[in-house]
Amino acid sequence: MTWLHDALEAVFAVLAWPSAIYFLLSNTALLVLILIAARHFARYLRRSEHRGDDAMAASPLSLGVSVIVPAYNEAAVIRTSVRSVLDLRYPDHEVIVVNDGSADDTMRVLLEEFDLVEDDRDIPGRVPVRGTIRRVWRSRGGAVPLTVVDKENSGRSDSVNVGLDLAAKELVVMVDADSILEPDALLSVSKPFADDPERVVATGGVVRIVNNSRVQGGRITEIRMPRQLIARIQVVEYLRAFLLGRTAWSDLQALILISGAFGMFRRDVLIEVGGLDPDSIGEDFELVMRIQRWIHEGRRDARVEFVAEPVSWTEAPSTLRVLARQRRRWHRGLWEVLWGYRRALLNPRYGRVGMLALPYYWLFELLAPLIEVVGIVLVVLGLAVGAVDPGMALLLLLVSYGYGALVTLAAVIVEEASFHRYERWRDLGATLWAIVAENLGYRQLTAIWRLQGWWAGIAGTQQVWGEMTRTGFAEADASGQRQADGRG
Amino acid sequence: MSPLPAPAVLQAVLLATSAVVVLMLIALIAQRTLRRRHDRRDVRLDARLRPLVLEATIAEDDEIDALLDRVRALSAPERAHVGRSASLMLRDVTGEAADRLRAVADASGLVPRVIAAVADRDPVRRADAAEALGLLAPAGALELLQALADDRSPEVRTVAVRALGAFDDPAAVDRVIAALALDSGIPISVAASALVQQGAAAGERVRDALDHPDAGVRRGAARVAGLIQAPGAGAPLARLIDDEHEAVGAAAMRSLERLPVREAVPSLLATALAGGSAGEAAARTLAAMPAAWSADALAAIGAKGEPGVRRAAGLPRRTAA
Amino acid sequence: MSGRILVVDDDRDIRDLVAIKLESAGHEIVTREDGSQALEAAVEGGWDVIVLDVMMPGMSGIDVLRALRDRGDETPVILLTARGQEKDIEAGFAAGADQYVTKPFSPRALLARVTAAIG
Repeated sequence: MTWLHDALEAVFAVLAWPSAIYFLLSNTALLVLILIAARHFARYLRRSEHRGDDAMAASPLSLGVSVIVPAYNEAAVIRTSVRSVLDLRYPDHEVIVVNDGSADDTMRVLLEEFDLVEDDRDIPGRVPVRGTIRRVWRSRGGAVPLTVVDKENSGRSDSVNVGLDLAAKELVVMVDADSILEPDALLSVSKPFADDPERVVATGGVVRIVNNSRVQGGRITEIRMPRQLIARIQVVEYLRAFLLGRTAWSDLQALILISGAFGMFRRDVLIEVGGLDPDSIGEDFELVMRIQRWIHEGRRDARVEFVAEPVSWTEAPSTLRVLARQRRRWHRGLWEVLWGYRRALLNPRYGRVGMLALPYYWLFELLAPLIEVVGIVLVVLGLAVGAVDPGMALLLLLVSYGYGALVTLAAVIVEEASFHRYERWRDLGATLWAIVAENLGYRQLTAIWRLQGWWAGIAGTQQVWGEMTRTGFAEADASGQRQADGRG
Repeated sequence: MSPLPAPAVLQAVLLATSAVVVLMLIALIAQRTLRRRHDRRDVRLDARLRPLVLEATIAEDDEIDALLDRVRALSAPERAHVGRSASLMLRDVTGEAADRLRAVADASGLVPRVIAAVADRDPVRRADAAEALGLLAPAGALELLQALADDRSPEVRTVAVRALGAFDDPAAVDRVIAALALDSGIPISVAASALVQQGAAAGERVRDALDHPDAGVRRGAARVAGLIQAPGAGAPLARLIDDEHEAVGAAAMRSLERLPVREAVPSLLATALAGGSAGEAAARTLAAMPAAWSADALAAIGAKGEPGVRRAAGLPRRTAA
Repeated sequence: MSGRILVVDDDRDIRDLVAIKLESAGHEIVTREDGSQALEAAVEGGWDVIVLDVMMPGMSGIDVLRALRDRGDETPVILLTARGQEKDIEAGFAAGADQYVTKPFSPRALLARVTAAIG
């Protein structure tokens, strides 16, 4: 075994410093993002007195919004969900439900609940779509601003595109039938469009984890910390990556990812870039990258913005099996989009998107699980053959996880100082324990799943995920589908 | 390449990290404790002072002075709380109750502080002052807001213009119309909403602004004219459909949905047949007009319009040839 | 003429402002802060008027109203809607509302409507 011993020692000699630097950079970059977000929040909160949100809610001049709700086998929730979208606080919005060839009663429930009549108006056909429309319905006499499209099954993205083609308002937003929306969601996310109508082309808001919170009639009535550890860890993860990370990228004007569960777009821009890509696994990421390409290749003065207000709530995976599938899918999507847009990487034409955000995503998101897993394997092997000093290995482990926990704790402090959504002392205790627990197994497991997803992407395997129609997910529990789609 | 840093260095790093983590934990707990204590104090103050503020909203003329004297006799933190409560409630009510709340806020000593903040160096404070001036409307508020509408910070200007929406004085209307200009740095939605709030008082001035040389002013005025039913705006709006700036035309078409005039039909038809989003807007406007005016135009769209425009006009799918 | 009035709004300020005005006119006021509590109280009956906010978390005012009318309850309902939400007014009347008041509201005008509704 001496050859292995010697080989490992050689490997360590070469890799030790680069990996130490990688790890230091990765966490420090995250810490910097958190600090940028903190500054952003401080500014934002100081202005709460005079932001004029009520004035906007009451103004007949607010830009109109078309809310697209793709629905596949949602008979159980569709009634509440459409009602709650219709009831959102906004002066001018319409709802377009696209029934994606559901095999259940979704269509019957819609026809029963809402007084619908056939809508024989022409179809614009400006967005390329695949699924054939069977019939279009609308509310009788326009009593409620509701359109229902019944079409053959063709997947979520294509359903959204069908809705986009029929949308009549200036802005469009796509929501999942099973996501829970904040009453002010449309107001918060449309605010940047109202403030800067010439330049803002897309916005996204914060998606939070709903597990164990109290929900009634499609609305959150009491926010609670999830009971399961696995979901609690995700609360911390969401906080760090989605709330703070995206706020910072938006502040840097280099936002490349908006949650698919709630993104708002200027309709003309979305039509111009061709809507969602029905073949993409990370279709929400792909769309924002396509918009960034449209901005930068066309040298347009346009912006993508993130709003730090919560807009929707999603059920986080509460079992390892579902979590594994979600993370494989996310990472596969990440790889496919990063690879597909590799020309933008380090391309000065793409400004901060190309020079800052994309390198960050390549280095610290895409590569991270590979480096983490290789590191663990090498260290374990090294320990086994005695090429690594156990004391030294432990010390390194403690330093790295200690620094990681420090960064996460910084995120928690920012949340505490700004929005403090989880008010009880118990919740704080749960959060702190989740920070520790994240490092004890969770990170390592997710790293393995992410690697698997990446590999599947490189190998281009079709059998695991298949064509990305929603049918592909119908076999699992209902929440699995939602989680697989909800890119947080 | 040397191997990793010496264990001693790593130990030092670990110690430093742990120390920072502990400090952060302490900060976190302190933060939460302080916030809770502050919240509790607020709840106590509120329990004591809220009835006073509420009572003022229903006070008769002969009771209000005694109530205001009670407010003036409170301690400084109590008065600050009363001022805050009254300001918050002012967002909810109008009429006599609102006048009473303004009197309470005044008695709490809020007004001099707001007026002082108008000259603060910090733009956030000035913007807050503008917001409060709009709500409290103390004597001289209009002049102060007009000045703030010319502030060097666009944020302050924006809040001031929004606050001016509560005043229907001609000077306030003129200032808001000026804020529609393209280079004002104020979102058009804010200035236009303020005009809508001024409503009938802004009518004639909005009509005159339809011929303004600045495209932003024309656009804002065109968008608002229909909402406030500006008298005599029909003909100028019909002209604006073909404005050199597409956004002005779009705004005019929106207003013509509510303020239809027959002379707009030819321009609307031409725009509709040209297609695109402007074409859709034109078709929608035509569809909202009395059928006697629009029948021929709709028939032409039915024959020659692109599908999106036909949809906007409410026309059915062409049956497959 | 005094009556028993149920006041429902999730905003404490509005609840209190409405309550104190109506109480000052001699009415008996009970308040509720969300839709499902409101429906529970409304179903118990014995109300002369219900003042109902439209926009509430959970069950909206329109939902409460609909549920109430579905049970054949014809108690006069005055809706509180936000300015700019004209569609709430349409939906409200469709669901069986008798009157509406937009926020920000005038407590005096609200009292006049309540008095008229009691008849």
